[in-house]
Amino acid sequence: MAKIKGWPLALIVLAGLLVGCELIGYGIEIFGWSRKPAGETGRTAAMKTPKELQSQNASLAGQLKALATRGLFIVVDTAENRLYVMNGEKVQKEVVVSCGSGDILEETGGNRKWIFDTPRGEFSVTSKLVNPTWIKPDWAFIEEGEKPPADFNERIDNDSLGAYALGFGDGFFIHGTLYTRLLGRNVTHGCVRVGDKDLEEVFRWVPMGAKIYIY
Amino acid sequence: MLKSSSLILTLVVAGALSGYAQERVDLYEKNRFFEAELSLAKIPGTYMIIDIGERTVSLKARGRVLRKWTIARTRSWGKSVPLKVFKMEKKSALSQPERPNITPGKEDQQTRDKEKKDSFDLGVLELKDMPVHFSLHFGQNVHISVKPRTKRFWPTLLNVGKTISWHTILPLKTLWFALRNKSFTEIELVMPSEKDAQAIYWSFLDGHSTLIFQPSR
Repeated sequence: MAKIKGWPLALIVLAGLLVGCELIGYGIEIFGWSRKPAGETGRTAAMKTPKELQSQNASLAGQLKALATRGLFIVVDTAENRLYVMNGEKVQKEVVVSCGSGDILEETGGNRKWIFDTPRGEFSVTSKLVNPTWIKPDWAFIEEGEKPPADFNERIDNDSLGAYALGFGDGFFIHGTLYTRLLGRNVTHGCVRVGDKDLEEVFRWVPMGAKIYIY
Repeated sequence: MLKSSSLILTLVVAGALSGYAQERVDLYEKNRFFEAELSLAKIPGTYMIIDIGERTVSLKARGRVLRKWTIARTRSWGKSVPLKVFKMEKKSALSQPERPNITPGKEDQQTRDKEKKDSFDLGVLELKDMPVHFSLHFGQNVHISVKPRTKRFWPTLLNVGKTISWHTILPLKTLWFALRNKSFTEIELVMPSEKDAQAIYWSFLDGHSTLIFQPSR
């Protein structure tokens, strides 16, 4: 029988070692460590009867249900560009909207940087405006390659926000748009743009202080 | 006759006792899950629930489901995840989506909108730009990898690669962690479509509070 020497032998030894390690790893996974972390299903479970646990679970589920937002509220899906007016668990209205573009704007020669995302989380309707005026922030000028004006009047824009706006803090609004063909796409600077007809209904239904959930 | 009757009786009693014990464990786990979710639902904001038993991922706020995804298939390796609130530390993917930069002066918003309204690519970050294969990293060596069911060539090839690494890398990782007296958890979620996987990537934010429910059966 021919003896295996040199690099073929080294290769065989290495392969053997690898297979050995793999088998030990599999062994530890199957037999080595308990699937359940310590303390999860131990004594505390044993102290209570199924009936006690069942009633406790029902009570906890009830507490959870009691926390849920009631009445009319808004949910915005920034990925699908959809706005839902909810009444409890029922969808009252589904609207196609435009949310933040995710673009970055950096000031040339400056230190400022803006990321045009629609903020996510829990908010409330903090203002309801008819024929809203947009006070253009610095980025609106910088984006156009202009210097932000010192004169406040130059920042006033009466057209861009449409007929209605629902404010939800930090200068963000759910507002109308001139660019209805872009509804359904992520093109805004962070606000939620809605078609004028849909916005009118949303504006009429949703009261001040109503919750807005954005994800 | 007496021997076989007593054997059957013993088996029946043992079966009933084990069923009773398992029921108690199930209820206790559900109990802990409710308590953990209640602590999350009291805080303003959204949170995620990955329910391995029910095979769902839910985005919730105040106990109410805002969006729910069904998981097509799931498997796990390593220790079960403790029932506690985790913070999603980071997402990783082979190719991370990049935010487009606006060049000041060139990008007057109105002209940009007018010019591009008929074109498909607006140069913005959208759902379709999100990766379909990625990992979510939580504390305590808990990792969740997400992949889609797909018929496209490259994603299928990546799925095959992931399956091979599951059976080759994880045993070695297990050994490495065992030698250092540490543990880890690796969970794989297979989503029914690429769009579902992308939506999960989009919806999970860094620091997102997450509850991973991995019942013992």
